[in-house]
Amino acid sequence: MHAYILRRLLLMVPTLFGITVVVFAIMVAAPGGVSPETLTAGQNLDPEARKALEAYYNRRYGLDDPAPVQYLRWLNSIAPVGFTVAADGSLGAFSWTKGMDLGSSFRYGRPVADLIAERLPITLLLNALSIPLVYLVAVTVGLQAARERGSAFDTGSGLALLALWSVPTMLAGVLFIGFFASDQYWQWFPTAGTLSREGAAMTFLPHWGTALDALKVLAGAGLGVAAGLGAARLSRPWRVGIGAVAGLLLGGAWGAALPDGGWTSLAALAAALAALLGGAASASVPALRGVALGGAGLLAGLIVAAAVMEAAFVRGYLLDRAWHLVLPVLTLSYGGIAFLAKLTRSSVLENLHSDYARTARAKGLPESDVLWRHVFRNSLLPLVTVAATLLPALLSGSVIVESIFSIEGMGKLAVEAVTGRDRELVLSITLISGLLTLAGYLLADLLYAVVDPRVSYE
Amino acid sequence: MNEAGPQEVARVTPARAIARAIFARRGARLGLAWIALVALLAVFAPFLASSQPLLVVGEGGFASPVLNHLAPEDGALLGVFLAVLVAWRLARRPRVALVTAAGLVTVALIASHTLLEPPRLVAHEQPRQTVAAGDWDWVVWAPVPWSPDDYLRDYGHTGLEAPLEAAPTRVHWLGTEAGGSDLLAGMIHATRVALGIGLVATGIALVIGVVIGGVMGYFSGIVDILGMRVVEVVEAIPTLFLLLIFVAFFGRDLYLMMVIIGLTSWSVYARYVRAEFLKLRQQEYVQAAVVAGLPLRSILFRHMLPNGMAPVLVTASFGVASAILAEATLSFLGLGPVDTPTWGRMLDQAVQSSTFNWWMALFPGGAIFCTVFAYNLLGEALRDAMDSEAA
Amino acid sequence: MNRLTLITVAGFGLTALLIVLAMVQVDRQWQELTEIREAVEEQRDRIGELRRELDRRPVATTGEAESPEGAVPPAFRRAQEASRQPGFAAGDWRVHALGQGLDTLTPLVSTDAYASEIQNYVLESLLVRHPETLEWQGLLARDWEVAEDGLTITFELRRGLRFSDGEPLTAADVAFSYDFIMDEAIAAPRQRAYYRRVEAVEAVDRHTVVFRFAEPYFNALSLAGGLPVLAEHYYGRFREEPEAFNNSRSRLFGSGPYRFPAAGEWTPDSGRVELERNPRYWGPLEPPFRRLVWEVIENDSARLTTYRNGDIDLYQARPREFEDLLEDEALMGRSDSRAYMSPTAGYSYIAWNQRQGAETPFDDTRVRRAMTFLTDREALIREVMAGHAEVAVSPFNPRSPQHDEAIEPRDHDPERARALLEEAGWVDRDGDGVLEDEQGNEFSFQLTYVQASTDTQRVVEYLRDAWARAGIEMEPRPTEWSVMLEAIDQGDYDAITLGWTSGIEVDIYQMFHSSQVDEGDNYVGYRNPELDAVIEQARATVEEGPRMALWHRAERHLFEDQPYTFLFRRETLLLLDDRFRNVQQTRLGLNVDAVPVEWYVPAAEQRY
Repeated sequence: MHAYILRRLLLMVPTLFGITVVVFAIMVAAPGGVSPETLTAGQNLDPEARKALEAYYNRRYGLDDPAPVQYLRWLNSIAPVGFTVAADGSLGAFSWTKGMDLGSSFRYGRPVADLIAERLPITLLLNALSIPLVYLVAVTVGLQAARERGSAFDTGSGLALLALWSVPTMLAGVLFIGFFASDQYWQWFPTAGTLSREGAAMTFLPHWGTALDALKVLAGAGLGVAAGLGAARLSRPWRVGIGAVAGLLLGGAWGAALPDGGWTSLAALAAALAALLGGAASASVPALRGVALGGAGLLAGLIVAAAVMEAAFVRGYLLDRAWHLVLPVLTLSYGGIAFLAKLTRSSVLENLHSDYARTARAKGLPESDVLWRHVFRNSLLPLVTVAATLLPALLSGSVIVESIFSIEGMGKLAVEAVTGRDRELVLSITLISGLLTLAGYLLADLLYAVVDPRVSYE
Repeated sequence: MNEAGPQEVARVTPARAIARAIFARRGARLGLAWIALVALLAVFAPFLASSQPLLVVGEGGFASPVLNHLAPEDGALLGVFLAVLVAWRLARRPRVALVTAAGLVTVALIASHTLLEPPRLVAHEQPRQTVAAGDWDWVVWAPVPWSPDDYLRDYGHTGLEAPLEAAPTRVHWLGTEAGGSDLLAGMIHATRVALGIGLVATGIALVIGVVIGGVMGYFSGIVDILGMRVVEVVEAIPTLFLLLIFVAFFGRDLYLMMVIIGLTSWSVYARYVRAEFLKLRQQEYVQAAVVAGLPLRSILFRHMLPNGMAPVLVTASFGVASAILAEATLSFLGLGPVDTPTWGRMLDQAVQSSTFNWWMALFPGGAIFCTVFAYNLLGEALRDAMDSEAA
Repeated sequence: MNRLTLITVAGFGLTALLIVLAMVQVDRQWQELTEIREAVEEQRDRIGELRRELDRRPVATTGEAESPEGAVPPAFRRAQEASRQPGFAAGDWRVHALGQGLDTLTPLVSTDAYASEIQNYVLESLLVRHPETLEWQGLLARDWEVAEDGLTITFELRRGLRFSDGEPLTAADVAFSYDFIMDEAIAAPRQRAYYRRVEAVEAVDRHTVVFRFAEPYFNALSLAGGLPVLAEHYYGRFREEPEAFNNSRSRLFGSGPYRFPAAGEWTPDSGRVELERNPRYWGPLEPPFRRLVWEVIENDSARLTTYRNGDIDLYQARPREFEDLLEDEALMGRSDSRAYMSPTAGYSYIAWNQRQGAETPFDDTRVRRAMTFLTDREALIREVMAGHAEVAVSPFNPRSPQHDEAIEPRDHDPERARALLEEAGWVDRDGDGVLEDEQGNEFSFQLTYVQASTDTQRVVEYLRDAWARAGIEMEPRPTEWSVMLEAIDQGDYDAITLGWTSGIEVDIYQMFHSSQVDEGDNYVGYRNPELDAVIEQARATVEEGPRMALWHRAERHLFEDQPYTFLFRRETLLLLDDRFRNVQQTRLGLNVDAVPVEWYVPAAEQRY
């Protein structure tokens, strides 16, 4: 096992080299390439000063060297051991403790390492929030679809998921902003950034003006959830009725929140929500019923509590951050949900019809036991492998999401670096994304070995 | 039936069986229907949306301005369309069909490039001004009487307009873009870009992937190890990032983009083909072919490939969808092709303006969605058909 | 539930409780800190007021008798009138938006207009112009004298000038500012080129500084009076480390009414710039706003949405957009709209490549004139600018005395254009709709432009259609800003559409003198020895009357030769929050960026 890990790690190195060579070759081969002229072009200089600056760049970055030499120079600077480089570009002595130097961004004038250190956390945060959401929803839906194979839920959700997967990320983002973050429709979410200006000056936790207000919110939420869960236990016609009425009320409130909405939009929304909640309430799975009706109850309770609150409510840093991240995380995750749900469904189906499941049923185990104690764990295997490919997909999805929502993360940095022809930054970002991708693959393979005792890498 | 012996029949049947299975599925039928619609729109775009009338009757008799403005690409596409139709009618005799189709396409290409010479500089408002001056007795306009780059100069300043906002004077079914040009016309002409990128890019990726994967799978050993490293390198670079780098450094040409998208997505086909070939090379008929001394090319592509194509075709269908999405993303980020209308660029305009112009988001976005959905449906149906055939 | 599960759950619960308690504690500390900070700020403001009070009263001391300033200096009169209006209150913030990120805020190194807008509040110069009379008034200078021969200007500084850290501002700082700019190691080539006309700047004593010129220059007073005064004790050390200065992003420090608290730490990707009131300001009046904030919002629609939400206070709209927004009642209910032509408005133009070696048809004056006749500028303004622009006929603003009223823009005249082109040899010889010359070359060229602006895109599309009707094929070539600069450098273009900013009196030497073809901004390669002579003479004429006559002659040359096709000057279209008072139109434009600050917000309407 250790030998396998070591071998994989060593194999990563030539792949990383390969990646950087490809990217470097593209940049150098491009018309205009990376010459000192492109670097000085944006700056406002008179001719002698420009020539002096070009000479300086040539010396410092070795830009008038042939391409392979430039590549080796760059390799030397990012390697932790290598030749030290003096300020004017001449090579010094070999050193074992040189440390990695990712270079300086031409466009920002700052060390690349600083830029990446500033921008990476927010992208990681976005992805870290998306992955659990994606897995949770996907596994639930996929499992349910597999259990009720052929039912309306199965075909319906299959179609809906395929449709969701086909929606391009930018369209989803644009529609989200256009409908939920603009003042022409509902303005429930902010348009841009990850923090509002007051957020930096707010306390960490939310607080209400008076203790009574806090109690009202708690009471509203609690009563709402209790009512919803209670309704979920009733018999079917009662459930569906209560669900439909709740949907009508909530939909009506939603439509009323439109700034210039007419009766048609209100009616349409009310009808849609009524149908949705009624349908969810009629489901045979108690968990789904509970979640739907409980959620509706929670919403209703909070709305009522908000209406009777007296003093102002300060969001607090934590909630403000979360509020800014809702739409971006949603935009980032919906594609992954669709994909993984279908995968879960096919995997669970395969296992449900396998020999060992049949044996377990023949032995007399109830279906739920067969599912949860035997089939579930085995069905998760392909999900684990796929997790490796999910991370690079999320990273490239971040590019679009960060552009739409004006979030200063790695994706946006990548676009800026590329359009600005910022060589050092582009190479470093390539290196890091390549590293993350390969590490993801390795992690997936290792997890696979851990989860499935049959697999061994000896 | 003498030369088309048992071998010929055996080769035809699985494909036809799969085709039949596909058509049986409703999702696939929907998807194919949409794709066929888009293809028709692409082929007949100059006749469907043009500022030049289809037919005029004036002092000099009949004339067809739209035909005068046909470009060589339009002619070539019409030729391809004819060729496909002919091939379909002759589907029972594949060899004849292929030859006839190829001949038709060549003739069309040559004819278009020699005969069709559209005027270089077009003033789109001229036909409208001629009608206003009363020089023509009878005019038949195209269904959408606007060209995609007709900025309506003779109507004064126009800009983003909601659908049917300017109703009796000018009818724009889907509204207008920021420059004043009709959105429906732009979308019809953009079908060419969408389909072109999807098919060409995927075609390139398919060819590269199949060749490399086939070679890897057949020879295995050192060739396989080296090949896998190359595949890993290509896979490890985030595709979008590589696309961005290419486009930003090399320029925003449409054909270049097709090639680049193809170059960045061949690895998944290579993997599939390699896996299949690794399995197949142990089969007896392959070994018999090797012993019989058949050339390598023949072994790989006539004998092994048809049996291993199944998963590749499924992936190709999803591949077309992702190629279309990739182009839309690039256009959205502002790096799309410069002069031609594309759905992604129209979607970008929906975001750029300060008010939310819903028709700029809904229609082009909807078009992208439907096309991608159609290809996904097709891929799903293919996969189900293959699985049920195999099982 | 077995014991292990129980222990795990309990462990989680305990950890969660501890985390919540820690957060509560940090919150309470935070609140304490905020209260302390507010108390300190209040104290600081009070001390500033006290200081100002003290300065105003005559001080009976021994030693250096600092005569009181007594009345408020002329430069502050307008701000004082504003402060006397009923309802005047100090306080509140003003939030602007920037359409693109800043590269750097360090003076001299920064090159964009936004950075200089911000620097204007922190750095001060010897003189400022009165917004209405356009006369010079002393800001840092109390008095000045121009010698008979125009070669020497002597300034006398006020007493009691201070930088924002309390250190006194003296003539030595003025001399240092000049030396700093002229230091070759400092990356300030544009300013250096301007200040090269100054031979030397000498600090005679603590409060007197002399500017010496090599030859008479018409803009001498403007040059000397406009020098931004940099502090020697802050910037002096950068003479030893010019690299550090050239690469710095946030070294903004001065004596102005506002100071930049994040100097030294701010980075361009923090997305905003905040200036706060200078508590140690030497001037008799403190600026009304406590803080000035600039937010970087690159996305156009996000900027408008932020304005709608009330998170920024000013919004500059594009012409069509402006018309649409005027109809938005909800928005107009809380906004004030201003559409005005700034006297210093820049102009946009099409530059024709006339360099030797560039194979374009544009080295023939008749062709260039024909292109201007073919460009229907009125229609362009109607269509693209929704009427919010005026035709530009030369680099000189029609409202300034530099412009000769007799010169009027050429009308759109396709017939004359055709005649001119035919005269120059361009006729459609083969009936394909495109003009050709005798050798059979077609009249087909590329127009390069910056792709970021939608309005420029529309102008280019319009031009393409217009010229197509005359048989000229134009291929649009959108590029990135940096790529375009490179193309300009290397002469790798046929025609470019761009704009120049303008001023009260424009010196066209850099753009049109033949010596500036390789070194300066005359990148089209226009050479006209007569125009050269007129420009040189005008620059050397100090008296205004004769100089304006010379500018008129220069204008006529440009009008005849059309090295550029001048397009139009755009109006500034602003939407501002209606809580601001004393918003006035002056001869220098809207008083939004006036320093001393003239706007204020009444106490009841203050937002921050």
